Amino acid sequence: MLKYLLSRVVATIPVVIGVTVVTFVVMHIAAGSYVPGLDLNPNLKPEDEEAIKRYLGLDRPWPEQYLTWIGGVIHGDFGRSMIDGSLVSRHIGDRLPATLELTVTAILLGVLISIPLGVTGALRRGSKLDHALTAMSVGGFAIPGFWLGLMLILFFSVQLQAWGLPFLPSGGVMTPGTGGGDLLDRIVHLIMPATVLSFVYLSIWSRFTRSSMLEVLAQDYVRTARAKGMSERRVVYLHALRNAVIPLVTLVGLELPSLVAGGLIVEVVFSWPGIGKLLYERAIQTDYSTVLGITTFAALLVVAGNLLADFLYAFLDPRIRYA
Amino acid sequence: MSRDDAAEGFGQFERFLQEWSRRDFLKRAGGAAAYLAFMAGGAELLAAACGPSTAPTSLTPVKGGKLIEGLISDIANFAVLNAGDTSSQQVITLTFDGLLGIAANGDNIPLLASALPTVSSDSLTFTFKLRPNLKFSDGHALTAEDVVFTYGLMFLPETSDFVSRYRSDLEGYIQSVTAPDPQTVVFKFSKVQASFLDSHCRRGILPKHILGNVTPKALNTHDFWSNPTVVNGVFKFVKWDKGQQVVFARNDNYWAGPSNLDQYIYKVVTDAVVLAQQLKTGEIDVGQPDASQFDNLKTVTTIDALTFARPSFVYYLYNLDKARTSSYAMFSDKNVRKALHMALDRPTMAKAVYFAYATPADSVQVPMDWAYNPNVSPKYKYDKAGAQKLLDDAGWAKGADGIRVKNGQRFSFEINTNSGNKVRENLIQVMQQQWKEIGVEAQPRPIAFQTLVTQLRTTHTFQVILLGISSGDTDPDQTSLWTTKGIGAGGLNGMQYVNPEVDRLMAEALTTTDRAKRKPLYFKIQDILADELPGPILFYPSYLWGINKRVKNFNVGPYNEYQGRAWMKDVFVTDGK
Amino acid sequence: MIDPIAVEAPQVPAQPVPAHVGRSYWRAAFSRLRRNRIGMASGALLLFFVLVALTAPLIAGFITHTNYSSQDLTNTFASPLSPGHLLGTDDLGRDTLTRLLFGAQVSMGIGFLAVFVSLAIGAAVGLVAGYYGGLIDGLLMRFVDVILAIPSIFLFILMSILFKPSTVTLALIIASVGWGSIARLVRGEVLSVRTRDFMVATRALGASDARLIIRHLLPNVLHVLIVFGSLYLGSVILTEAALDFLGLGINPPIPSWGNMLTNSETFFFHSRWLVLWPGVTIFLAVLAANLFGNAVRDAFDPRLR
Repeated sequence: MLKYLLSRVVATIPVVIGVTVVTFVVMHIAAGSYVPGLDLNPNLKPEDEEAIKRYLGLDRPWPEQYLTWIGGVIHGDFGRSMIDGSLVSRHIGDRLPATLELTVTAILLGVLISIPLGVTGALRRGSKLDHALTAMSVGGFAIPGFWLGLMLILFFSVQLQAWGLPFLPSGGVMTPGTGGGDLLDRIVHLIMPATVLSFVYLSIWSRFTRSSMLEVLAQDYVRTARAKGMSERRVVYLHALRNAVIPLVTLVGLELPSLVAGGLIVEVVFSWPGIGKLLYERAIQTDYSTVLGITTFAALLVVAGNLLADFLYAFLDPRIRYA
Repeated sequence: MSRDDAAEGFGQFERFLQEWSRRDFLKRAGGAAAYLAFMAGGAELLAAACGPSTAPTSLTPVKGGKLIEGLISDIANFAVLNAGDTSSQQVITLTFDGLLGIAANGDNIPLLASALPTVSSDSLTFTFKLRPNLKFSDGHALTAEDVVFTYGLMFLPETSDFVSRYRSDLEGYIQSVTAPDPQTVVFKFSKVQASFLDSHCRRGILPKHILGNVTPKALNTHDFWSNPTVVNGVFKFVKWDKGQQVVFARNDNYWAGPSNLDQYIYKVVTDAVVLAQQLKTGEIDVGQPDASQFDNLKTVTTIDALTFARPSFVYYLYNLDKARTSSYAMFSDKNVRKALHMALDRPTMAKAVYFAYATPADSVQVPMDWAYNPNVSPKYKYDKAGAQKLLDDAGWAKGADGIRVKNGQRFSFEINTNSGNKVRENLIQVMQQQWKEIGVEAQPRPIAFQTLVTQLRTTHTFQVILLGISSGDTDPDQTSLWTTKGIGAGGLNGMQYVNPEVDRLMAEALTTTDRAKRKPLYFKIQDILADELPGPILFYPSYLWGINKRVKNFNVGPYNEYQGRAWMKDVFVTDGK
Repeated sequence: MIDPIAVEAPQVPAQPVPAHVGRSYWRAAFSRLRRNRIGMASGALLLFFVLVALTAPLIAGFITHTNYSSQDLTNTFASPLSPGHLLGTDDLGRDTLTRLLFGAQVSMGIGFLAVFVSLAIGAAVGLVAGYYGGLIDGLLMRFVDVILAIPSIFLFILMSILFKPSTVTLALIIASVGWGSIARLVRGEVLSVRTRDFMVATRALGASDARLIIRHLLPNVLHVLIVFGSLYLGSVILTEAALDFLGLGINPPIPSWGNMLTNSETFFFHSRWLVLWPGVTIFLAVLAANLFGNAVRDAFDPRLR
């Protein structure tokens, strides 16, 4: 088992290096078209530009810059903004909690809703309800997330307000000036974005739960339990459900790496101050270095997440350890 | 007086971009602006064109409560001597007063100084007297030493490691800044820097007892610029929840007395729709809504929806560089430029794109400036037929596909503007359409703001650019826009427009401070530029404000929205909450 | 939304493909497809969108009589069913229906192009990696790992700001990430196929590598490509629309279903319809693509139902 884990870690190293190389190369293609400091002062003379370039370390040879870059990454320094010199890692630190709040809630929502939907569909297989649920899943997957978000905002925020009814806030994490302590306020702000984000998860996971449930219900041990006289309820909820959900957990685990980046579009539409929105804002301002710093961070998280998933599978599935 | 540009400029231009859609708000913080500073002056026209937004009230001020202002973009920092974006400048002027400030109409008003400075006859010495008993928010006295320290960072050779955007305007001009006594500051110049009074006397004065021991190099990345612990302005900084809000509290040590409000909150709002929405619900008290939301806002009874003229204009400029043969072939003929301008139905454009919150413009000066020529000539009306005729006469005949051709070259070009600004993007599409009707093919292409600025100043491969210019003060000088001095990396004359007459007039107008002498010169310049049209002016867009009725004395005007917020001391909310 | 590509990496099963994928296999698959009513209906809808995309200028010319950029500043925000504008007009008075028609060109065009390019690159890489194995395989797959580690939406945004997107560039940008999953799948198939008897035999007969790859391996992994491609189309359309919506893809005046939605909420009080039509169209197109993709997958392996 240890050998397996070690081999997985070793296999990850080239990927990490690869990620830093790719981002570094892209950064240099990009930096070529950017004049740092121009935003600060239009009067910038060539000497001043040189001075700023020296300050940012852009005049050293490539290999040296790469080593500085990867050295920084190892220590958690993902570079500085080209626009105001601020530390990317600081931005990430400021914004990560908000993103996690959103994506974790969305995943939880997804799980909590998919299971009943999937189970219902399996239990009433072939019925109108089942068909309706399947249709909803298939449909849900085709709805553009940003559009769904837009429509929800327009109805639940704008239209309801226009009609003088209580309405949901259309953006942000909390009402300003409240300091974020009020739980109800936070929930109210969280509802719409989390729902939109969970939508896609829902579609897939509910179908998956359904088929998983069907498979489990067709198993011999279920038939045995029934034959032994166990109530249908116990059969379903006590035995079948538990076994049906395990594969779902695996699937959810697959989503962990997307915890950071997955919410980008929702964050932008709902003005949720997370990492995705930060990347988008900085991209619009052509702040290449921040964009790349964030991307590197996210990529490394994905790699770490995959590694973690490998470990978990090895732990759960004995067959893998001796592969 | 000649301004080689945008010391403040970027901020101004930024501000201008600020109005419209969500994305270009996002642009603001990073995308600095090509900018031109009009320089100070009085404003006789001001009374007609603009003024304080809420009528002075006879109510006694209520103490207490908070004011929430909604803005689309977050601040970038509190870099008092470096801020490039208008949001940051806004909060900086809220927390740091300078020697002087600016009134709604653009006049200089004394803040930390007790009066406007005495200026020597040769304009090389400025003497300021500070008010007595000035204090920082921590109780420490504010003296001339702090002023000396602050300005020293911007011009002394020893401090050159500290990056300040105003350095190039002051280094080489200021010879010395001294404090003969704790209440007096003397600026000595080696050569005349006419913009000094109007542009550089508003710099926030920094606390020497906090920052004096930091090396200039280290000062660049100091925490003070994101967490100003000691201030001297109306409000002091409490906290900044990045991307969400910045919270300020009353500074009880403020020289003019403590403000009525307990708290001021700068709230970051997603976009125009949300801003308007939150104005309606009262989640924010004041804000600048988008033109598209404004009509709806006017119907809301709890809000004063105000509009007034702003010192800015939107224009498009041609690449007139002789070396660029294809652009030159198309745009070098004055009559062709006239034709293109006549083909634009500006009144209808204003209605559709600006929802009527902009006025078609004829002059390169803004109406509220004292040098504005209301009878500038020539003026252009929408005249498609006339435009067609001018083009025909100029030798551009309509080709088979409807696009004019001359000497084998099609009249086809690309028109750029900054991406993310919905109004500008719409404008170039509208212009494309209207020019198509007279046989001219324009390809609209929005590009990143940085690229746009670089194009204007260095690359020069563009053909036509649509841009906006906004001014921070009232001096009508536009050297960097229209003269040969403005060509190149430091200026804004991206057209490479060369007119010796304009050069001469513009320079002459800077040799004196007597408005009576300067005015006719500027009048003439406006007429010449209206005739030559190197950069035809399209519109003067309006400021749009939504102010909740419970807010009183929110006296924002054309020149003091972000350039100076000391007036916020008098703001109060009627319910005290 | 969540990374559409990671999610959509479809469970193309390691099915027991017959020893040699022959004509009867394909025929069986096609007849299963034909019998799938929903599949055929969605295929028809998809075809409809493709046809609209191809004939947009004609339709505009003969039916709506306007171009996608013809403005009418005096008739902005017209409601649907107003004269001459079946679905109303936008903020510059342009006809919504016409813009939807031309938007189809963008979405369908980029969609199919991106899918084809992804398949081509992915197949090439997967074939080479699977066939040669060893160091080449290791290097290529590590590279794929790197590409797949970077969140695709971040990568798209990054590339959009670096390379100004035209229709073709945007398709290439989207394809530049998608090929990774395909490469892995193809490689997997190749690994299982290359040890087969017919492969060993053909090689023993002296066939060159290229011949083996192209004439023998490729046909046997084709079904993987087809299934993946059909399932991938839907998410490409969504991704492209999202990028346009953010302003990082195709920009006006060229209409795309995504950029017609940008800023549409700003104009909500002027016309509530602007938000509706493009979204519905995207939904229908993606739905058709997804359902058809499902049908194709089912056709190649009925056991998955």
